[in-house]
Amino acid sequence: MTPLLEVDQLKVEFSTKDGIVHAVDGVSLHIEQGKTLGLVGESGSGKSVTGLTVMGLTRGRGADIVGEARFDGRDLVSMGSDELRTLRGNDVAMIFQDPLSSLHPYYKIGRQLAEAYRTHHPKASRAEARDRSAEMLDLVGISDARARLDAYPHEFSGGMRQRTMIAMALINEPRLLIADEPTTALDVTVQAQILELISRLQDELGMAVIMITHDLGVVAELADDVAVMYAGRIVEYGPTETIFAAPQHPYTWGLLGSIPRLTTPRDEPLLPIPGRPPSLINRPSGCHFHPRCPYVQPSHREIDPMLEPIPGEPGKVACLLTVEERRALWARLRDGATPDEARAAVLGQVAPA
Amino acid sequence: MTERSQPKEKKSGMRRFQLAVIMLALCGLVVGLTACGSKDDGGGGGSSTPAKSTSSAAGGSGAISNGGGADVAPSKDQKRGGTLNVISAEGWEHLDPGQSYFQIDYVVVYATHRPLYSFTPTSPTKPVPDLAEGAPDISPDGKTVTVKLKQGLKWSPPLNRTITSDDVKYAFERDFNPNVPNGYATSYFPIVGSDKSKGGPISGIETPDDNTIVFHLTSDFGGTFAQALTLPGTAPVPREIAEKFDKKSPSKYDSDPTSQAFSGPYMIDSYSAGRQVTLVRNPNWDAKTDVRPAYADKIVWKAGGEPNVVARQVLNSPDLLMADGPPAPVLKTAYETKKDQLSISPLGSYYAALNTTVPPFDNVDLRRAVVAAADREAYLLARGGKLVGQVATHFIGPEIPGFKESGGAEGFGFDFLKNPRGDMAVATKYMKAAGYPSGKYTGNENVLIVGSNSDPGPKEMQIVQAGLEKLGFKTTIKAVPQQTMYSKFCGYVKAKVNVCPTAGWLEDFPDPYAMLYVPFSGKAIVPVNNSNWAELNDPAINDAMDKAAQITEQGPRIKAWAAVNKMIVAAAPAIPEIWSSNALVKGSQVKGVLDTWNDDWNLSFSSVG
Amino acid sequence: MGRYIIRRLLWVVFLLLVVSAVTFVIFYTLPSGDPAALRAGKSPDPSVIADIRHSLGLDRPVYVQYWLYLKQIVLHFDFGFSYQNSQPVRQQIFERLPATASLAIGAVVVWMLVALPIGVVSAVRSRSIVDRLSMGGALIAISAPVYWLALVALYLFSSDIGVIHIFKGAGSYVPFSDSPSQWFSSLLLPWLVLAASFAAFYARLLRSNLLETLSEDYIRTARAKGLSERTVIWRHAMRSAVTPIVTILGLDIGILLGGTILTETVFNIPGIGRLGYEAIINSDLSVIQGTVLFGAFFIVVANLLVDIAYAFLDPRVTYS
Repeated sequence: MTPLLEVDQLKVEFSTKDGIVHAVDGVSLHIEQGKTLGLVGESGSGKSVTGLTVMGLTRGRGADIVGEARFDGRDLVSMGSDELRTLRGNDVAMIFQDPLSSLHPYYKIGRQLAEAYRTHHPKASRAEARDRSAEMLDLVGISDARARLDAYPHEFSGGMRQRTMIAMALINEPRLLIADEPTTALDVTVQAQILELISRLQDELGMAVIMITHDLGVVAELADDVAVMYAGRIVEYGPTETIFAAPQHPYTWGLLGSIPRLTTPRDEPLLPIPGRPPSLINRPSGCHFHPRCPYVQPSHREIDPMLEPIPGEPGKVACLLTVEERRALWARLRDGATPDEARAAVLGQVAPA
Repeated sequence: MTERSQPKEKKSGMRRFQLAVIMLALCGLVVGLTACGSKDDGGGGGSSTPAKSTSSAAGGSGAISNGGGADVAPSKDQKRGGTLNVISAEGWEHLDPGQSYFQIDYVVVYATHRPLYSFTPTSPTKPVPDLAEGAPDISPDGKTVTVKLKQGLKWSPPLNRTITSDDVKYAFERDFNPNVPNGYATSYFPIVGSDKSKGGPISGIETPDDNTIVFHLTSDFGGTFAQALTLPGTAPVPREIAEKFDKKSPSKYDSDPTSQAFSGPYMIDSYSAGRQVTLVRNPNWDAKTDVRPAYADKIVWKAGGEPNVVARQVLNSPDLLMADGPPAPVLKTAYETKKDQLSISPLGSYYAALNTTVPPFDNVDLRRAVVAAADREAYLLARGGKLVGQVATHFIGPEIPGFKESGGAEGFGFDFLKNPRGDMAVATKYMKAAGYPSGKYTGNENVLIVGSNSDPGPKEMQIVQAGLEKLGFKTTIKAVPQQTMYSKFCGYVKAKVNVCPTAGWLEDFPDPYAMLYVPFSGKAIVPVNNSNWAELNDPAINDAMDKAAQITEQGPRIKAWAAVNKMIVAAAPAIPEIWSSNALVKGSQVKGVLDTWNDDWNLSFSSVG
Repeated sequence: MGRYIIRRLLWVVFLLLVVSAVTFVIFYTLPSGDPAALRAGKSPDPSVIADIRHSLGLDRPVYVQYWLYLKQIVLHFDFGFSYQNSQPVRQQIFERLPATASLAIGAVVVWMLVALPIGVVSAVRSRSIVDRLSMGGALIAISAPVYWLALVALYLFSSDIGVIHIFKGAGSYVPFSDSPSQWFSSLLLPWLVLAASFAAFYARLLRSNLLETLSEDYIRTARAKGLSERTVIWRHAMRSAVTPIVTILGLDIGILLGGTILTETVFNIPGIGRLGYEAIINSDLSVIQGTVLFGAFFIVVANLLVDIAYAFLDPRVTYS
């Protein structure tokens, strides 16, 4: 089956006073009808820009976009603005992180929903749009939907607002929903509800979802596949079970290690990944992750790894260590060793090379 | 109130710099363009120095001939009919003949009311009987003055009745009413009982019949009183109309001037305070009884606006008459390119008063030294140069009888006034005579100089200061608004100000009494609103003035006053600065005829062409 | 909301009382003219001045005078009598109010018509040549003093003293009731001059508000919905960007109604500003008081109206 969305070597660069920002540096991914892809990474990894670029929302803001993003076979990158607008909010929709600031403070909820509907159904009457809006609010689990149409965003709770955003995004039954950190700004309890809602709606509407997040926990529940991004690139790609059971990239190990688990003893410290995300203007030489990698070798500072399939596994990884090395390291880490211990045991190095 | 977002205007450092540069450049432009554009309030008009008479060359006293090129003398070929259009930057203060005391007000009042006597463009220094039938009859002791009125003059509609001596009597009564009030009545009308009348009947005025009025004066003031009968406060006012207004405080008689009754060739038809007044012919005015030709059928006068703009509008028009003076830049333009639309005529004088009662200037030799050291030409330049007057050497200006008798422009020849740029040698001589052998002041007094803070006040104060510092004085300058200067400093005896360099005097009528008495007689000193800023109180001079005031015959009167002038100059109570001239501009076609004693247009003599 | 309005109205009254008291005090304590002495003329007898002072009621204690003044206003709506012009103050002010209002409101219309498109274009095409030229020009217009600009405008464009004869010259104002067409043509140049610096200010303000608004998240949402850029700008961005401008506009109108002295003077428009200025020069207390009170009234009421309007414009704002 042809993928619903195929992104092919997408590059997005911004010219700034300080230099060129390589926000997205050759990203390729695909997603099939009805499936969920998790796009994971720290802030600055390029995950949001990827999502925005697919929607065409980075156009004209000083961005230099190269590559393709084929939706149903049609390339969104080179498509004309007017044509793209007929798809945006219609076949492809996006929801964002902060629902309070993402809704217009001066207009009623009902009006904003109706606008989303009538933009793509220009012949619909006011009453129809209103009915549809109430229907959507109901669908996302907001009680007393019709009365709520006359409320203002600031009168809703955070959870209700995100539900409203979802309602607005789905009002035209898109085939692809891009969700950019939809739960980050919400309470933990509400997070679960929203994720569950997205999952349910996905089933009901047969929608594909790209879930952009920095939180692997979110991805574990929902995604069929996961792409891990670092410094504008995908460094690991594969089915969710594989990513969690047998991750291949040291960065992914770091992400997994830094998740608090219920089973982890209380007094054991979390292991954050040391260092900071790199500058997207002056990226490190060789493997962009090397300054933070506990297992770095001298050659890693010169050679830039490509994203390649892993022999014997369903996923892909961009790393210069061998498969065997990586499997061994992961085995140690999973058993509770620290990165230093794992490195000493597997690579025989007391300190990073 | 809950939150509300505020707009943020972010300026980067670069923007601030750009802003500063542009502001500097524009400030330069503004200063250049508007430097002298501010209202010239030295020329009378809106300040509290009322502007009075000047006489022109026709007065035969060697006066400056009209410095402008406009033909402002009456002629026989003037056009009759049409509408005169007058414009001014200032508005009127009072169009009530009893209250009006300003140059611009007079222009309207003299066209609509007839005082007992008038100065006219054809007789600028000798009063002509107006409401009166002939010259006043002054008793030999100077204490009784009898005036006979013309027969059969009528009031304007709707009053319509004949004007009687009782109307003149009431005019005087209300002049002394605190509700009105009149600004010069106490100076020039010393009538028996007037100090107690407070608006009621004055015992010293009798009206034996409808056409005769007799004034009993408290002293032998008759000779000067006769000259003062040209003031508008002597124009008749009908009791039955004005009385109810005069009962209110302040009197509302001039709130709506259209409700007045008029004796002159014109009536006020409409009035909007500070904006517009229109005059139409008074159908009951009898031309045969009046020297006024009254050419125009209608007069429309609009007031208000920016003086530069108004003056330019007048110069560019065929038909406008500007009733107040043009500001300096426009005056210059008119002088250079449109001289035939410009009239320059002498009016009043300016001097720097030295307080004779307070040290250090209570010493006459010290004062003479100061006068000798003064650069009087600098004052002329500060006020605008030769277009605005000439350097003075005494206190009677060229438009007033007595100028020639005082030596004309040269003056009496005192050594401390010989050099208009000052003479340090002479100054030193007087310093020594005053008790300072080094020629420089060594005392402790700090000289307080107070002047107006608007142009040319600050410049004049600096000139005085420079002159004083050359003689070793320590000085302090205080610049205040003009009104404040009059009421709280220079005109306020208790303030003990040493020098008031922006002193000026405009004669109320072209007679040397009106020029010299109030500024220099010790008897005229009052604690508040004082006009004898030098507080000169020399018994010999006071006496000489009183004697000269009572002379009725013109020739000896003028000679006596010239002698008084000499005594005053010798006492050095002030540095004579300039005899000033006033300029007026007019449109290219209109024929404006000048009242030299008021230095403004005479609407009853002007015509559209 | 009702209680809020009532509280604010009480505050208005209180403020006006304070303003009138302060004006009274300033006039009497700072050195300026003495109305009685001014009316008394040259070198008057002290008894004459005393008589005049008594007849004007100026010899009573300041607080008595103030009390009487207030009584007159509250009971008879009588603002006193002008010493200089011998006219009732109320009459003068009401006669001149239409002229000031004509000038102010007309200028508001002109400057908003100019500022809106310039502000929007500059924001939407920010950093382009159009943007830089407009904002640079705006900076100059803001910096130019009104008085100077008015004179220059007359010297260049008026039909009587100008170089190019386009507009009517100074002094040509007539009330609307006299001749609507002359009223209009006499106000064109004054409107343009008065509007110049305001238009520039509002264009810059709108531009910066709009730029900020365009970077808000809900604009991104609007675009994500597939709305056309024009809809995004006019229905979403402008709606937010304009709200603070309404506030400032209301206040500016209030201030202008109190009198636009410089413009009125140069163009000889008989308005309240000029009246107040002349009153100050002539130490005419009642007129000064009257114009100050009216000016304060307009500003305070404008403030109130703007706050109320804000509650309607921004649903997040509530008053209790």
